[in-house]
Amino acid sequence: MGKSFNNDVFNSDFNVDSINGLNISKEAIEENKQATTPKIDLSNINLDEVKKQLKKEKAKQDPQAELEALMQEQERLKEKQKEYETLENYTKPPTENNEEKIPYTKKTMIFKQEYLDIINGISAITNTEIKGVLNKILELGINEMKKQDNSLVEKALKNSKKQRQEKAKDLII
Amino acid sequence: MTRTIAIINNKGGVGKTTSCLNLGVALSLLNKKVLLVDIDPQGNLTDAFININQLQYTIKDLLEGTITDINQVIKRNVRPYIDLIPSNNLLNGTEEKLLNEMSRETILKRILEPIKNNYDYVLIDCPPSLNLIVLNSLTASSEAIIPIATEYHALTGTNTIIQTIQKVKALLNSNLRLSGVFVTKYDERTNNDREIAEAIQNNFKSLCYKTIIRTNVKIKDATNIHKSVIDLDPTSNGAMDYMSLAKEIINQEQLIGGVINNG
Repeated sequence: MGKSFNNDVFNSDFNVDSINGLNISKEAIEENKQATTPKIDLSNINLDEVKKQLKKEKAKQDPQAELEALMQEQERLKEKQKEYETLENYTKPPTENNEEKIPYTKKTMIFKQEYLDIINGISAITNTEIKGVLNKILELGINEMKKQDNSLVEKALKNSKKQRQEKAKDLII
Repeated sequence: MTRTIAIINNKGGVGKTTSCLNLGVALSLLNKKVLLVDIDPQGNLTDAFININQLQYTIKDLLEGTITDINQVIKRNVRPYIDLIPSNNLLNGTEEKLLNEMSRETILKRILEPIKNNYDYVLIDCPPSLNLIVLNSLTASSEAIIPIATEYHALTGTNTIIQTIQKVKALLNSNLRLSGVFVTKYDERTNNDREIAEAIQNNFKSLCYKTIIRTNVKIKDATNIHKSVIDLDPTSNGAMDYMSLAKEIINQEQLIGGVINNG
């Protein structure tokens, strides 16, 4: 195998390197070199020219567009702030203010909406008279849930009042 | 990105074809699209999927250029998620014909180039040699994996393979790297196997896969009936070892370009 190739004295293109006695063709080595050489010739790059080009490009930038982008960013931050405040309200423990009962009311609202959907669904496929009965059940359900919610709020309020009183005691002592 | 892996060892009977077959099946079961390239004239990998006597075209036709359309040679879906480029004993005379070809080391690379991106893994089952066909496999690959059997002189031949890989990397394929070695035919009951496995692990350190392919009668049974051990008995040690090795190979995906780029 190797012998027949090595005797090929007419083909001068085959030369130089060998692997396990097999001469490696010049073309294959060249191909590999080309694949690994970066296509941009770094030696020809003038750094001063690149800097000048960059400065030019910066000067070309539209100040109006920059201002708009800044304003958009400001708006986005405002939205984020609002989002944060709302989240904070939900995570705060219940206090004496009625406004801060939002999480409990919301729970009831979700229940109400889900229940209404069920009623509408049932009445669509059965006798519509059933709607009245179901609405009454809904009212009862909502009242019951409100009671539960309110008792939870009251309990939380009592606890926080107690805690505050204990803190005040500690301060006096 | 497609990983083209040459499974290489110039020793015969170390489990190259068995590993190529079972890794291919294991990778396909792990949802990887696999192309198996049988470049061994023995055609044992081909035999696991199709009748080698009924092949119209093989890898030989592509290498010799008698067929230029790879789609005429490729066998689609020989198993779900697996395609195969088959081979048979006709490949024996090909090397001599290629010797006077231009850029003869890159022929396989050029053959696989248009289709390899259709796959996650291209596994090349190399013959037990370090000839021009194997150089083609290494030039076409991004990685090489060496199975080493727990046999006497197991490590002596590996130096030659590693030198070959280094030379190919230097001259023909700078993207090539050795992804790892793994121990095959391991019988934990014998001192000899334990010592050799330990020597391999000490020698290759992090380049040695944690999975060891244990000797397993089911692997032999599967070979006898031209099947993968995973298909024959998925609960056998052999099947579990190859599934584990496939997972290790997949996990290397995160390291490519990083730690395993061993220069």
